[in-house]
Formats: sequence, structure tokens, C-alpha cells
Amino acid sequence: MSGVSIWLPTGSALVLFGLLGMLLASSILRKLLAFNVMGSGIFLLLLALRPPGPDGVADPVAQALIITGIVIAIAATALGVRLARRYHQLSGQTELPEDRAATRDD
Amino acid sequence: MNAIDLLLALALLLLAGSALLARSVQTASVLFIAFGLLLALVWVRLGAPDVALAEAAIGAGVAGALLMLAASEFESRRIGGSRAAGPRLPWPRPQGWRPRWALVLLALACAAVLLLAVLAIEPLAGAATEAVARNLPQSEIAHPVTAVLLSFRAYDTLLEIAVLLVAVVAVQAAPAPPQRALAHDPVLARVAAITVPLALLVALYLLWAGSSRSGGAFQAGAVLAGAVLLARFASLPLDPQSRLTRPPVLALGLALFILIGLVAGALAGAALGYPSGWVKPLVLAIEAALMVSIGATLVALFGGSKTA
Amino acid sequence: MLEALTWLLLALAALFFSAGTLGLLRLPDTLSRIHALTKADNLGLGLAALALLLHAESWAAAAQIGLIWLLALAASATSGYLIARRCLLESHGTPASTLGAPPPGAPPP
Repeated sequence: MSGVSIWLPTGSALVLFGLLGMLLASSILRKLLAFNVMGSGIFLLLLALRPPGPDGVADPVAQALIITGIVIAIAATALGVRLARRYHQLSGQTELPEDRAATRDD
Repeated sequence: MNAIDLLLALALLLLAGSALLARSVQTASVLFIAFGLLLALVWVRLGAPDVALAEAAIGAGVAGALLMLAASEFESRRIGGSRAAGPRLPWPRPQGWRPRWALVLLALACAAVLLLAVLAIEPLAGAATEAVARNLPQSEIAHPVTAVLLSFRAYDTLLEIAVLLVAVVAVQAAPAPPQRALAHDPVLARVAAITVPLALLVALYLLWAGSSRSGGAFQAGAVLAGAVLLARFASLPLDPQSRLTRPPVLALGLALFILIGLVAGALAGAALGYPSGWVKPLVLAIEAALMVSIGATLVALFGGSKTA
Repeated sequence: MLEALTWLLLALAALFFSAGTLGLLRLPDTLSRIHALTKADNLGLGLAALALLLHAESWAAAAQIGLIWLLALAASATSGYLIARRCLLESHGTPASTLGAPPPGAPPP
């Protein structure tokens, strides 16, 4: 495994953290945060699979894909945040009913 | 493997972990912004300055600010004073442990499979880079990433803008909770009076530089959105937000893109193609419209206005 | 010679950044932490920018580095001020009363 990029396990670890965060966290905002971390991990994997070319510039197609991904992720996050705020305004809760548990902090 | 890369990777994982395990969502949002900025550094390490710009502006800046705005609405925690005592984990004590452990094991298994699959892939050294480089003179755009975004894969960018527009429509369908009026702060107003024009200049520069260097419409749009939001938060006498987030401005980028794609494409023989010799001005026109639209979209996604 | 100077400046910058981080972790409340972060970190940034200036390819690049440092100064000073103002707001009440107010924890005049 000579020359394996360190970013492959890093990206996988970020996906793991994000996945755990989305599954286990109860507050909607934390889920959104974990979703973003997971997305960043996948983007890192995308680019880590493309070692930089001879002039040190990374694969342009992968770069374009990741930029597109970042913009789509922000659109989804913004929609999620707005829905969470609206839900909080209407119900006073920061978690969906199925995630709610006793003695919470936020 | 470099020592710097190792340190960056460890710091990245540490920041991600702290952001997910932070006690309050406000702290988590701030740590998330730090994570995004460090990730931008990692993109530079990997040779992707365009992605670094987009990550710093959009991924760290806009996403972090959105989360922080919502977090400050959700909790009225004091930010002054010493660390407040609170439960160690942000995740609740579950009724029965068995379902939680099953989820953790499942996530670990998924990540392990992902890692093994990814390690087994032979990194295709530069196949796509060569293809892009070969066809770059034909596209008459100097910068490879811009060429991919607006010429080779212009359809993807078109749909991406459409997705942004749909998100804005959906966000505006759920009205923003009323926000307190921000008190006028003289220091912030003075700093913003200097910084906002500078930010506009940076946005225009990024737009112009995108044709031959790293930059482009997305990064420029994000900086534009930052400038407009700063003007709003500093309560500057101009109120660009209400004028900017009107539907015509939001749809301008998509409309112009489709128009140029069809008209220029008809002249060039393929939809979303550009007739030879006209590429640079057409692409610049599309990118300018996209910048305005993306800036307006990001501001609209933030929601609320000075008078709300 | 240039190498040695660059290394010295970068080492000093790292020292100042570490001092700022130590202050962030160990100082008791937000106001004192703001001191540590804005002063020590910006000095560290200035030293790092100086080290990069020695290797700048052109005057334009050197001017860019200087501009970056100035903007970082302005941004951190402004955000430090805003955070401190918010701190006072939470402990004292309305914004109007915070101008000239003693910091929380100080003995009353």
C-alpha cells in the first residue's frame, strides 16, 4: 500500500462521524451539522481518489463535481434550517417527536 | 505521506468530533465553521484552489452562519461567564441501550465497507485531467474547472442553479420567524462601510478571474451574499437585501443561462454550446448573471429582512 | 540567511498562536479570552505574514499579503468588540447602558 493517500481514511472517518451524528443526535440542527460533515467526507474521498496531476492541480472534473455538491448541500441545509426554525416557532420544540427524550439540553 | 498532511487530517477529525459532541449547538456551529476553514486548507493541499474558495465561502461561511442563526434562536444561553455545567453528551440517555448499539455498529460497518472499497480502487492517475486538457483549446476557456463547469458539463451547472431556485421557493414558502430588530452599532457601521465595498470588489474580481484562474460565479456569489448580509446586520442606510431578493433577480441566472444556452446553442449546433469566438463574452455574461442570482439566493436563504 | 530569518519568524508566530490558544483554554471568562485571541493571534498572524513577505514574488503579492493581515485585524477586532458587547448586554441589560459600564465582576465604583 505504498503511497496510499492519508485522505482516504480521513474521508471515511468523516463519513462515519457524520453518519453516527445523524443517527444518534436528537436535535434537528445537530443532524444537519452531521449531514454537512458527512458530505464533506464524501467530497474528500472524491478528490483523494484523484491524485494531483504533474503540475499539482487536481482533477478539474472532480473539482467541478465537488463545487456543485457544496452548493447543493448548502441549499439542502438552508431548507432544513428554515424548516427547523418554523417547527420551533410553531411547537417550541427543537426535536422531532420520535427523537425527543427526557432531560435534554437544547 | 507528509507530516503536515498527517497533522491536518488529525486536526480535521478532531474538529469534526468536537463539533458533533459539543454541549451546545452554538458551540457546535462555531466549531463547524472552524472545521470548514481547515477543510479549505486541505483542499489547497490536494491541489484544488477553486474548491477551497467555494468551501471557505459557502461551506464554512454560509452553512456555519445559518446554523449559528438557528442555534441562537433555539437557546438563550449566556455566552459570557465561565463554562456552564451540563450533560456530557449531547445525545440523550436512551430508554434501552440495545437499539443505539445496533445503530453504532451499523454505522461502523458502513464506514468500514466504504474504506475498504475506496482503498481497493486504483487511483486513475489523470485520465479525466488529460481529457479536459486535450479539449480545452476547443472550448476556448483558459481555466479547466471553469471549462468543465460552463462548457463540458454545462447541463449539470444549469440543473444546479435550478435546484437553488427551487430551494429558495421552498424556503420562502415557510415564512421566517420574526427576528428582533438589530440595535445600531456605530463601530460595526463604520467597519462595514469600509468592508462592504471591498467585498463587492473582491466578488467582481473573483468573477473576472474565473475565466483564467481560480474563481468563478459560485465563489463570487457567496462573497456578494456576505457583503449584502453584512450591510444588513450593520444597519447601513442602503437596504440592498429587499431589492436583491425579488423573484426576477433570483431567477435571472437560470433564465439567462437557458436563453444563452438555447440561442447560442442554435448558432453553434448543440444546445448549451457556444459559437466559436463568442465563448468568452457569453461565458462571462452567464457567470455574471449567475453571480447575482447566487448572491441573491444565498441572501434569500438566510431570510428575514431589516424591517421584519 | 533568508531561510534562517523565515524560520525564526515562523517559530515566533507559532509561539504567539500557542499563547493565544493557551489563553483561550485557561482564562476564566469570555472578556479575557477575547484579549488573548485578538492580541496574541493577530501578532502571530503579522509575524507569519512578515515571513511570507520575505518570499513574495512581486510587489503586488507583497501588497496582497499586507492587505490580508490588515483585513484579518479589522475582522477580529470587530468581532471581538461585538462579542464583548453581547457579554455586557447579557449581564447589564439594554445596549444603551453598556457604554461606559464597568466589566462584569469588577467592584462597583
